[in-house]
Amino acid sequence: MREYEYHAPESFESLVNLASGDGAEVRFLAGGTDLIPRISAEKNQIPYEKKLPMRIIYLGTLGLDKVTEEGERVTIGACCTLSSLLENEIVKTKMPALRDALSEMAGVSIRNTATIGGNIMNASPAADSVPPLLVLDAVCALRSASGERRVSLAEYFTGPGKTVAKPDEVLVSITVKPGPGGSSFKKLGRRKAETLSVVNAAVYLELRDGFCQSARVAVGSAAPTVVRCVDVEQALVGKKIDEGVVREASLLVTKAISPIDDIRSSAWYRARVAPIMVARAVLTAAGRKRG
Amino acid sequence: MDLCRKEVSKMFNSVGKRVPRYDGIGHVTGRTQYVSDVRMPDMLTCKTLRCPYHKARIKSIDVSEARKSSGVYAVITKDNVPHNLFAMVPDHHVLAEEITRYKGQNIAAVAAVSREAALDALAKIKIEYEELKPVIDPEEAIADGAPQVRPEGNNHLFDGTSLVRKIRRGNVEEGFKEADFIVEGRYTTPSQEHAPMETCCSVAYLDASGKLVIHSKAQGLYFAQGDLANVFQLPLNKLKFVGGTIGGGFGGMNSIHTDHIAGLLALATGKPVRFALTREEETLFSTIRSPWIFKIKDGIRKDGVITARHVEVLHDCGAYTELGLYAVEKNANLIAGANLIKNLAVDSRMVYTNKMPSGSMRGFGVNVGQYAEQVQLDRLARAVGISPMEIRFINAFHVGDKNHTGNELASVSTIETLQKVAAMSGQKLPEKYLAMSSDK
Amino acid sequence: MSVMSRILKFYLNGNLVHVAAGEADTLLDVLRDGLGLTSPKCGCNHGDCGACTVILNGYSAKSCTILALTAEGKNVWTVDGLANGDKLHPVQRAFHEYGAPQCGYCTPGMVMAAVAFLNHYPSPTESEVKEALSGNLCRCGGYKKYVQAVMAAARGEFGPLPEGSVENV
Repeated sequence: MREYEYHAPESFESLVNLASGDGAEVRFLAGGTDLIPRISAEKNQIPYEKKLPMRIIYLGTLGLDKVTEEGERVTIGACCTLSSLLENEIVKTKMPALRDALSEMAGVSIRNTATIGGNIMNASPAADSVPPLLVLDAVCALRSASGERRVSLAEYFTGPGKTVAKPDEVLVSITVKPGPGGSSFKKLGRRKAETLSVVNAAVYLELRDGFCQSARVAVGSAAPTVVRCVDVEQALVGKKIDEGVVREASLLVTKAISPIDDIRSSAWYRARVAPIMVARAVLTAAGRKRG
Repeated sequence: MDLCRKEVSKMFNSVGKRVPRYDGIGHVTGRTQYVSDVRMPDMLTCKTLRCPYHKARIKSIDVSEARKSSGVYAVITKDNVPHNLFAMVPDHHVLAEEITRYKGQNIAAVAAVSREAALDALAKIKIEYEELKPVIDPEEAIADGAPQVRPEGNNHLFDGTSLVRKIRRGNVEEGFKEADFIVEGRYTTPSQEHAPMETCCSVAYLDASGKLVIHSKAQGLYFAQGDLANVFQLPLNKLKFVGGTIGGGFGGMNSIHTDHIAGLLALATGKPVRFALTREEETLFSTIRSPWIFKIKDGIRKDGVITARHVEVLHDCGAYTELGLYAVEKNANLIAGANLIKNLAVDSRMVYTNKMPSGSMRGFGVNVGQYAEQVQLDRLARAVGISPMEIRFINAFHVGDKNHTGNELASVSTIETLQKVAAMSGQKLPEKYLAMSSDK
Repeated sequence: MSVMSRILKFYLNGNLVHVAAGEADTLLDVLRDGLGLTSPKCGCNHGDCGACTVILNGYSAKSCTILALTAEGKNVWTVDGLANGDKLHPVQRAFHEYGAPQCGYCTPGMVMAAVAFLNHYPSPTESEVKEALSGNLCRCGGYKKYVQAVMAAARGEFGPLPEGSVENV
């Protein structure tokens, strides 16, 4: 059986010393709703291979659970639970797409535990918080012994389960610019609650007199990472948003995605429902235009 | 007699009323003890080595290092089982013999002071497998030259002689000649796991008198007790089963999943042993409702009367018989549905494949057959151009009819049920169907 | 054994407890095996079924997804802490009177999910109740009665809900 060690650093100074590893596999623990069941499953396996000790570093004692607003930007602490964000006034009023996504993630008890940083770092192509953050032009702040760097969420994921974060880098916050437009998120799951997306879509839209000034569209669970759908965006900009325009534009989503068959769905089905999710998200976002 | 009548009328005091469950307070306060909650002092944990292949030959197995592993009290293989066969049809090995027949079959078991110690010991078992070609698909398994699941072949021989279990009534060939339409359909049902909230679990120990006590999730305690007395080679007065509240069975606990191994390890160590399956083990390796394939060929007249039916049934039983045979019997008797079919032939076959064995589950054998039969009826109705309701009225059983196996029916309510269904779903029935009754 | 353990201190149903906890143990492991408190059930050990639901610092949580040592100093409530002597919590009474539990294995988790939810939303709609219980699976299929019972408890059919957070129940 591999060894596990647990640390709950109360400052970044102590965290960076631990994060260097010293021959251990370092895992940062935020909410733990993915990591802990994985560890439990591992503890039920016959330990045929010798594995490095796992060093679990808890991030819950570092005060990363605040939402702050500064000018046009909102910064979300990586350890904010999904429930706390769902009830947050800034999220509620300025980021409807994120709010939509949070309300459809897992179920209440998991949302009470799981964090937004965990959802991002898990880097699942089906992560529901990612498409809304992507259309809100989110930037991730990574901190390590060598300081802090900022990476746009659009460049953050390198594949399923993979991000640009180095093993000793901690995601500390996500900064978004909610903007003056409307946004929305649509999810298709196999059931209503406690389910991963078959396909999801988020849209941010700025309208003037019914005409689209600017559009950002992202689709999840239909490619190795969540993807922006530039063709759809271009087909919307400059047009008067009505059902026909939206339906036609949404079909272009297939240019951006590369769905696969897996336990949740088939590539065939995903390719057919992705445009529908996009179209619904566009129409809802259009109805939510602000300012 | 009067006393009896009084008791009966008292019984009906509860009908239509809300009656609190006798164990409800325990459930809402969390005080109900389930088998997985049973804790004994000095209790050992059991973990098993399971076959990673659908089919394999165990060329060698060496448990000597595992026995020396820290915290280990016992490691057992087939050589340590007094009688290595169990189940309702006792052909299932408690711990695998030379040839393993399904992925996840238990090969060896460890009792140790902790889960970690038990798993560490399992990692030290030296085992050499030769992976063999399995057969997974039931139709492939009955084909000539298919890999053999069992030494005696892949087909179950009914009464030790026949490939096919037959029901015959009237003359099917003549019946098809009378028909205006012939409708054929093929129907399949997949595997299904019971998924009780509480996974399989047993706690076994020797009491002060030396009697082996097993806290069991068994749905049929006496079946399990009799079966396992044979495995342990213990007289029944040395084997006590303790049942109680369980976190769901749904038929899955008619088969033995953990009682046998927990009992053997308690006997081997003299200590209490707990053996609980993980959710993954429960889902992947316990018995299931097994797959079925039905081919139904019907002859039907323009007036909607079914003149003949030929049903071919193939039950995929998995690697061991378990309750598969029972399911085939139930299925065969009821597959023709609540219809009077004068010319009927049912040919049921049961085939072994390299999968987990077929257990019982909620109406096993019956509801899978009814799914096929009811869809077929709708297709018959379409072929003739009548409504799905009409075809069921036209062919319905009446009181005094003989059922498919020749028993006279004393109580029949097909027509009344259909009338009620029509009323509840807002369908208007023609007067002649409203006037019908199961009494001829 | 190579597995390390530490002493974990937290408040269990209002009382400070000290218990040995392995560095990778879940809160469910510690409650059931460390403290012998078997009311939180293990159904999947994967965060899916909700049978292990407890109330952690006032919010429902699936204890199999909580690393035990992160509960240091926190407030944990299980169903054992709800009743006041023989006097059941209104949610417990409602579940019993409505006949919601069948095999009962999901019930302790269902009770805790419902109590935590009603503490935050004392006058819910039926669809909000369904959402609140959506992470708790009942294989017997008792969902309808569970939802009816939570609505009845919210209406005060079984007495007023205790004031304030669960810590004061």
